[in-house]
Amino acid sequence: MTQYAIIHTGGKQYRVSPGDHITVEKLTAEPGSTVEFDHVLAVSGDGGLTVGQPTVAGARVVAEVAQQGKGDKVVVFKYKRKVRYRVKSGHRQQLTELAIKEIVGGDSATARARS
Amino acid sequence: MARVKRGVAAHQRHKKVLAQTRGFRGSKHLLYRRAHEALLKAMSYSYRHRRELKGDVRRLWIVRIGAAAKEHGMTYSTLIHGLKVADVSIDRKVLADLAMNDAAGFARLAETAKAQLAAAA
Repeated sequence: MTQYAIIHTGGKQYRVSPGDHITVEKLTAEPGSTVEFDHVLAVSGDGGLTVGQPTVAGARVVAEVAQQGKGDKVVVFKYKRKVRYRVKSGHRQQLTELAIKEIVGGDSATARARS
Repeated sequence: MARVKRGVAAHQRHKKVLAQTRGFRGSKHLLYRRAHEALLKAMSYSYRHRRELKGDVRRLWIVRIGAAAKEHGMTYSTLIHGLKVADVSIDRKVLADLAMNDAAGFARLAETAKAQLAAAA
């Protein structure tokens, strides 16, 4: 299996490999800048999976902010019959698209995205 | 001042509703009143079901993790307890993903949980 790491951001966990594009909850960073995740829960490489308890010491995931954007529009509609209660509003979640560059550390060698 | 008749606005309002109920069954995509009632229900169900979806997928993950845990001679609950005492905070979404796509990685997790439980016992 290809190399991957498990990172935690925005209240969710993601399994990422170098070269992946993932959409996460908004991070405050300019498009084109790099962000680092040092809260890595597990790293998998040539030596198999290294399980963090709770994190893998020294492991980092480097990603580039590809784009800041919003998710699809969601209609929030609440309705109660017979009491004339109606609420309608729209919502678009703010999201950040990341391009995973490399996974550093763990027991496996550093892997870079083929670009 | 020119007289404003209400039919024009009403027609626009009806068009807007009927555009959203395209593909609904029977008269619900044809008659404004039936369409409007159906739309109220449809929008409130989609709000509710977006919330229910979170529990639904979690249940699915648990089934998948449980099946993988049995291959390692553990039940779902002992695996999760073992991971908890081992201070492994990987969530159920990722665990289920590993169970399906990385059997070797999941085996490592199962070992970690087992070792921790054996040490505690």
